[in-house]
Amino acid sequence: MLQRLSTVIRRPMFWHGTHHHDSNDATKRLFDTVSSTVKGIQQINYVVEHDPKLTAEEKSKMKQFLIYRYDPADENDFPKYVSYYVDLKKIPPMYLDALLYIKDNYDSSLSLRRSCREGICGSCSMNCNGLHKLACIHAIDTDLTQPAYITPLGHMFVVKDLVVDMTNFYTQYKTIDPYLKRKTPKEGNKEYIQSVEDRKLLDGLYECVLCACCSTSCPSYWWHPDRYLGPAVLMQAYRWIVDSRDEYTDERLEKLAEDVKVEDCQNIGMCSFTCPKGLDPQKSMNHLMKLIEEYKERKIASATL
Amino acid sequence: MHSKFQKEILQFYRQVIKWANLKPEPARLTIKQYAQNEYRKNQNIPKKKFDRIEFLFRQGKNKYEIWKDAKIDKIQMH
Repeated sequence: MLQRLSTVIRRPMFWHGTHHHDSNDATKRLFDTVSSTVKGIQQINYVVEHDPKLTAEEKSKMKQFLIYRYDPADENDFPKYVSYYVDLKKIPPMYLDALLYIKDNYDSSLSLRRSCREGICGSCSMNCNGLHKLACIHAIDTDLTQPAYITPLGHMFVVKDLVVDMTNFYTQYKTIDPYLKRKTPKEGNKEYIQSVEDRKLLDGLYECVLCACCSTSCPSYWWHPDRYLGPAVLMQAYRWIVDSRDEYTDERLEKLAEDVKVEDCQNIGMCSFTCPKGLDPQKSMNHLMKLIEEYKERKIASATL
Repeated sequence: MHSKFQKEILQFYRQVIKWANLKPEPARLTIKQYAQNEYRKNQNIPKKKFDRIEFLFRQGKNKYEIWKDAKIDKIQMH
């Protein structure tokens, strides 16, 4: 009996790459400074109590959520933090559950994007306590002495409350042709043959849900959203270049090599630090830049022949 | 003198009117009226509230991007 119990209490199943990376000290220091400035700014901004009649005793048993609220369509509104108190015992452990509880019971005017509640659609990406994460798979810190800050994705235009304008992100994704392109037809009528090793190259790339958490936490993308494609889009570009079934590799590399699109990556590392699915865009982008360098050398070598 | 941002907003207005002038009859008039209404409604926003102005400008641009390739019969305001 005891033996069976020990096999049931197994380590939880992780997707490929969801173990937290051994981030080096530089990234940790960067994250601490960024999140403390974000929290510092959040602390001095305007806070409105949603329910001022709560007693201190009631408040001490509940978790405080400071949620960014702004309705740009309303001319008298301005960005502010509204504080809600939620009893953590009544809700499941994730940030999305807290937001939906607040929307159902306290304030139904709160706007947010959400769909699958399991981290696969990429809709609910928002800034939870300083880090860009998917709210449906990010657990609330149960320390009741600290408030939890929820703000929309950074450096994006706000449509309402936690909903941001993602059109630039999607148009950039479209420019890399994120689909299989072939010159030769299939053998037979079944499927494009791919070996096991070639398929392994795609692990860690195909799981991306395009939540935009990495791109919106990259300072380089904040300063140049028009010309730099961003880690999410570049990781998908790498995914199509490295796919052995795709035959337009040289054309894809040519398109990426021509502009400043990839060179804005300064190897900051916030993208891999913040990815809610545990993927590593930084590593993929370094591989991609190496491939582009090799392609440029090949082009020069073949031109001089 | 208009600032650069004010010029951009006015240039956008001209762009919309030029686009509307190429459309056939019921669409042309209603699109022009719609654009004029939107601009007149918000013409008195003080220069300081550039947040609001930028938001309205972006909204207008998004609508233009979506509608410019579409076949429009007419725009009606209720």
